[in-house]
Amino acid sequence: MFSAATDNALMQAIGQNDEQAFAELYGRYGRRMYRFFYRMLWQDTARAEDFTQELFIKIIERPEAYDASRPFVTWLYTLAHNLCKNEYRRQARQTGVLPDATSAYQPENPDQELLEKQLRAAIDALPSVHRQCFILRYQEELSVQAIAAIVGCPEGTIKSRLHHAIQKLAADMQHIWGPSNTQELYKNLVIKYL
Amino acid sequence: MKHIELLAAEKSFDQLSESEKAQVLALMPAERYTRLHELLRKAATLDANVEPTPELASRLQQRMMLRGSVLPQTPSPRLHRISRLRIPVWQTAAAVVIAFAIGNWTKTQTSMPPAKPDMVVKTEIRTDTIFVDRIRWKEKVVWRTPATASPVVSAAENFSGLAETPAATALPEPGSDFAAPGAPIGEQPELLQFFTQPGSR
Repeated sequence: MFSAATDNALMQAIGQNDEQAFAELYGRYGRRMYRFFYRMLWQDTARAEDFTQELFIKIIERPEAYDASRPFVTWLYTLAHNLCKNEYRRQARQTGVLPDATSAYQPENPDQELLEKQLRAAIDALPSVHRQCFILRYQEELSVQAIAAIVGCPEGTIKSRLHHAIQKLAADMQHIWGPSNTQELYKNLVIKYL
Repeated sequence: MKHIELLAAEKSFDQLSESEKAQVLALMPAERYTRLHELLRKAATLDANVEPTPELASRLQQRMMLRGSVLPQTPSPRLHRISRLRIPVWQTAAAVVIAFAIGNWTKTQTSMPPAKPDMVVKTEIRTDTIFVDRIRWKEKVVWRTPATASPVVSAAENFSGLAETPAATALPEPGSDFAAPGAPIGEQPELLQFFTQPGSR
């Protein structure tokens, strides 16, 4: 019934207590938002599930909070991003440091395992603002413009953060790929083409 | 022209068209492009298989059902129509001003001279709030110097006897009739003890 409906139409229907509309919306974004929280919150499955639940409860409780003039995806990621920011603050206040990643996912191919492990560790080691931008751009595959709207920064700032993120990742991955001037490669790339 | 980072995120070097290859090779060797591609593709597929538990979906669906059941019913059509009435601001403001003016006018019309209050005599019993628990006696020893007695001499005697007895105005000797009887308290220890010793009363 709602499979062809737009996100805006779904939100309107949710406002009128249409359960099928909510089921359709969750089907579209539930897994995606869970993955986003999983990546942002140190690969903690329980925490990712809690935050996904909290996000969708916000949608259930106050569907009228959605501003239909904005793209739905941007609004949804903004909510999710704010939840993550609050969690970072809470963690920093409680312990003074952010927790380490506790990955429950194990790749099946052992050859890939090392690379994935290193890459995940390198992404987790990024400063949080750089990590957010990198995840939103290269893992959630959002545009720089959308990320700027989500994070609330100018596009130039987002590009700069992406530049630093790739530079740092390249440096961290050198021992996997060999020290063949990798950092310089990414530096040149980002400066010229981002 | 597509950005290299977008190309690298989407296509491997082999998947590039000839023009794209030329564009990439003008900037870097194929090996470097391949590494960038690998990094970005790997990041995109990292943790791609993680999924929420099915219970999450059912919990949220239940929450959605609950919301539908607790939502207030829509008001009756008449109330709904009234609540949706739109009144211009100037009309509201005019109504407020008129109501205020009518209120003031009514107040001036109905205002009566203030009634003179009757005098009421009230008797109040005021209780002193200061209570003395016990009386504290204070004893103080006062040292007094004995008064020196001076002879009373009439003026006539005084002047008449001036020539005969030049020492008539001189103070009498101790032991004479004019000397005051008694002695200072300091010279009588018994008397002093009587006043200063505690518990002697």
